[in-house]
Amino acid sequence: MGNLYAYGDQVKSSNFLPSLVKTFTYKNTLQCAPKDYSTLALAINTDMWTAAGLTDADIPTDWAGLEKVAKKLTKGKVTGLVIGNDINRGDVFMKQAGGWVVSADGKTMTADSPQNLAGLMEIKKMMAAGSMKFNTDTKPAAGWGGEALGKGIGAMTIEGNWLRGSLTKDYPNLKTKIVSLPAGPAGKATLMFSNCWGIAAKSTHQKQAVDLVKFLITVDQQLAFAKAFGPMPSTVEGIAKFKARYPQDAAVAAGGDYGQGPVNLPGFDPVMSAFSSKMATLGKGGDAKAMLADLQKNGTAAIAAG
Amino acid sequence: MAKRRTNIHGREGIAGWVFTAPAIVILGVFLLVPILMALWVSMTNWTGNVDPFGGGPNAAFVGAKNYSSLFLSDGLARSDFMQSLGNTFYYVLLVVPLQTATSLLLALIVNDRFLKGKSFFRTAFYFPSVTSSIAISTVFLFLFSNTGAVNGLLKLLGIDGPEWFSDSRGLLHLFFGLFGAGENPDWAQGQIFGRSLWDWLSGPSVAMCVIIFLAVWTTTGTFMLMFLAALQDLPVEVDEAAMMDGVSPWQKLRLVTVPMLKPALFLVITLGVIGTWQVFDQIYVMGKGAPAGTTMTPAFLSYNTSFKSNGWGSGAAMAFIVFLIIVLLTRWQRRLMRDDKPPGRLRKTLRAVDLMHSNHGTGPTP
Repeated sequence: MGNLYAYGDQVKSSNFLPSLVKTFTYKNTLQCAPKDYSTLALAINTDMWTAAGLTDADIPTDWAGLEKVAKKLTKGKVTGLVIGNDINRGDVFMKQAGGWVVSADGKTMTADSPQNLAGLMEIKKMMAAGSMKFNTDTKPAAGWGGEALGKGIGAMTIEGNWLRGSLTKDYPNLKTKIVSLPAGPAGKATLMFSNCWGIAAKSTHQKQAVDLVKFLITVDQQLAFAKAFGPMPSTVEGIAKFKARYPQDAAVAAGGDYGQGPVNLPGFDPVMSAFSSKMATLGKGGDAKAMLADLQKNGTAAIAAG
Repeated sequence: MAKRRTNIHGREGIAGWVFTAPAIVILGVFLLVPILMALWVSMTNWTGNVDPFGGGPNAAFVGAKNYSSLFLSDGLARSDFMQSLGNTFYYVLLVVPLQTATSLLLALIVNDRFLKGKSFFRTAFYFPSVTSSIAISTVFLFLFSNTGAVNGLLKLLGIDGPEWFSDSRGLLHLFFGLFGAGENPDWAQGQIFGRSLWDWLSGPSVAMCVIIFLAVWTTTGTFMLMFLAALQDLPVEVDEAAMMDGVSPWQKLRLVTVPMLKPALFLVITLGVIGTWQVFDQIYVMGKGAPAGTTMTPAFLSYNTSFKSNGWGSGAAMAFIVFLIIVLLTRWQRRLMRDDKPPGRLRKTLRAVDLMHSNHGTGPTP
């Protein structure tokens, strides 16, 4: 009944990362081959870091540490931490606090849990202290976290693999360091983004398409993609080779082990986009409890309908 | 005397049909048939993938479920739709009077006999209407950005301008806040269609105000031209008679000019209502509904639901509901503007005078 041709059983032998397999499994079938993945990490402007008198020992490993360094880096027009104003950055705090939007089996909504509230309240706390801002709230506004870092609007940002490539291109003189995100009260967590090679259910060339996909997920091909624009290979062998080749990206590569993929349930697009839109108001007095309650309500309706 | 029948028949009739046939075919195929198809889709649960007229699980007939779920079932579809209706209601309420008044004012200024450089002003005021709405929206994105020209100007006046596009606070909420009403007060918790009274009374958000400025600035030119044409059609003698009677300019405007402009006023307001209920381009460029859904309009929501979420049935239903709203508003407005000196009364008076003449056969009685 869907738009995709589920060919997952034909590519199972490629040994994908378990978290990626889980993201693209629907109704117990692997729908498509994961293409690559990226995780979020903390990117630091090293010049501003050293100018504020911080050293490697100050790299934050928990929320308290993050609050401290962000406050120290907030000076004049520069905000300590500038992040994107949507769920793809904000949700990481919820995960670090031990909560998530849905349960692990995708059957129940867990949006209004106290852990999620704690995560959002942490965002509000840092925003109230002035040490964290969304990219749309800074003066001048930045298009995304990477631009905020590159233009010196923020001293740190939370972005993924793509940051390195884009900084090299747009802000080649910027010196940055990429470290793992600090752990929250429930431990380390990051968000993982991935895509898969989708084959249309109505295609008349499905066999050829599967052959093409099998070529594109070979280790050499995936490493070529990684070299060209940054995303990490989706197979276990591929990621091992990636870690060996790019030690400076160890932080993002490690995220694959504990990263949380986005919510992929059917009918959730408008639900998550409404939540994302509300999350952008956190810095301006948005009501975190009401947002989560709405997400819970809408998500439950979507799960029931799907 | 029997009325002469004016039937067109014979070769004139056929010629008439031949000349109008292309236009009828084009309008029929590209306008009427798609509208009927959309009406059908609005009564199915089509997911966009298969033939909508073929039945089957992806295009099943669901009757009025799409319509009722937008009003009666508690869920995201209804809350999004109600929010978009609320946003657009305030948008229309602010834009239509503002643009009507501004365009009338500009038309009166440009129509002034003693104004030099009339054609320059006409062009300057009309120019925004012919520029691409996408281009203007993009420029406004820069003008109203956090460190843009508008905030810079406000800073010169000592005001710290808001972050226009990420500010979702409603103007009415801010107004109530001035009188001490807190966040989400108890007196405004009643629910209308699943949305609290407090939410309905939010007024346009700060981000929506930018779009309101844009709309007024862009469409004033077109309506100015319509008023200008109507003003230039007004008989000069009436104006001169009014001036000789000694009315002040403001009284002349209120009691002589505006009543005579009623047809043009009706046209401008109707077009304004239709245009504002269908606003899409500006929303698409300037935020797609952000922040917090306060710039969402039914037209954009219909597009989003159909193209992004594959809910074509619901999207089509929204479009038809907006169509109904526009039709109702236009009819109500027509009734409102017609109630002035009903021509029936004048005709009765004339007939009474006519009867007196025919009965007495004499001149007017002293």
